[in-house]
Amino acid sequence: MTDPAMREPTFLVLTALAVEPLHGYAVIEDVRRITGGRVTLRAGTLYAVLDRLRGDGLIEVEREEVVQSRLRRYYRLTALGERRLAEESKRLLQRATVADRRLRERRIRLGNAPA
Amino acid sequence: MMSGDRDSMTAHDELEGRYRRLMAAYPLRHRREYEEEMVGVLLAGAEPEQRRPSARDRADILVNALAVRVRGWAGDLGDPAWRRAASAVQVVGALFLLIVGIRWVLPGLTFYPGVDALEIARPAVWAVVFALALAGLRRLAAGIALAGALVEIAHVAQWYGYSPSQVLRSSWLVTVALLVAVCSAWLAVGVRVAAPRGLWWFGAALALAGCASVADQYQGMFHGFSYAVTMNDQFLFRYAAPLYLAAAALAGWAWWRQGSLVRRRILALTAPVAAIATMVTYGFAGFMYSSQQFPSPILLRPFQWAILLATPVVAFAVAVVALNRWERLSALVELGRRAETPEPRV
Repeated sequence: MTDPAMREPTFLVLTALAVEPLHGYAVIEDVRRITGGRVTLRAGTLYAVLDRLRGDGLIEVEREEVVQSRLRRYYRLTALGERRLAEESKRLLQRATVADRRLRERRIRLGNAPA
Repeated sequence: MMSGDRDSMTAHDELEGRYRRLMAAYPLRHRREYEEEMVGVLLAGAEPEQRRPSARDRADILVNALAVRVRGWAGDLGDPAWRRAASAVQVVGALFLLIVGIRWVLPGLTFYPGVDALEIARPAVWAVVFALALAGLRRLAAGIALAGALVEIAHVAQWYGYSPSQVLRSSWLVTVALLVAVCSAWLAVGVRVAAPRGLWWFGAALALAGCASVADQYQGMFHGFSYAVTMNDQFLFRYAAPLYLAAAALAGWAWWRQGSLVRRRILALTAPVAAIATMVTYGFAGFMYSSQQFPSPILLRPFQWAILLATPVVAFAVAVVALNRWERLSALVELGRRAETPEPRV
């Protein structure tokens, strides 16, 4: 059975954690950066996603530290998380490639006129 | 400078207090795990001097807290004990509705002259649901159970125009039918569960209750016998009472055999039926009395419909919350007891 398509916040959180372990606020900032400021995750959404991803074994806690008397937890991708992100990335890339190819065909058919 | 710092601290503390109050919307497990982190993230993203959570943050927290709760309930409802309880309710409920339907159409036992197609369809549909559930044809059973619930609703709805009281009195039966349909839909997907334990005991209890009901009615119809034993017009004893008591004892025994986890969940699943029966008996007693006093019946108002529809849902939600609390408390008590028990010497 194939896994269902990932929702955008889930995909973005996994992408943010792909390079190195990050704490919650750093994930929000990284998601804002990688989406060019289009998506700002809010705390409620972020922790709902983190909780679900931890439950599904796609991420795990790497370490905890206390900064200015506040708990800071760093999350990292697990091997399963890496695999799921790679699958989702491939799926999105295939769709984007098809869309791109069809747009090029359309432009050729319309004699390079702007869409 | 000092005053500015103090003001800034106050705004910060105030904001933190408000965020923590919003955190109460989350279930306890989620709060224990994430509250400190979430408050830290929320404060890190706040504007200087901000005293109140923004409307977006507030909405985001409340919506996600609800989503986390719903996901928790959905997870609870997927556990094997819940599924076994749902299976017992599905099979026994279908058998119960089958017996009620048969009793309704048996010659000499119908409450009204003549039997229409809907009345014939009732026992037929529930017999099919019962057989399909036992055969393990889950999706077909769910589809037919939904049709059965619609047949029950149509059967009761035909009285509404001239006897809304009769509709109210039958609302618990419609709730049973809906419950069987919901349990069948629930079991149609996910892990397959075995047929409930002690089905024969449940069957014997229902058969006995059916016999008691027939005996009751024949006693009432037969000249020379009174419907109940009375003295000075005071009700003393109903002839069918021992049969009903024996049926209740058998049903109780069958329920007991399910094991404590399933037993409690069966009670939670049947809470909507008990709630609607209680609501109609006590909450609508005045309505039923006055409705019968007028030549043209008084119909139910929208708020009364709302109460009727909300009662089973609220009863189930309350039963699930009570059950979860009870089981958590029992687990804590058990942990405490084990901690206090000294280790046996080797």
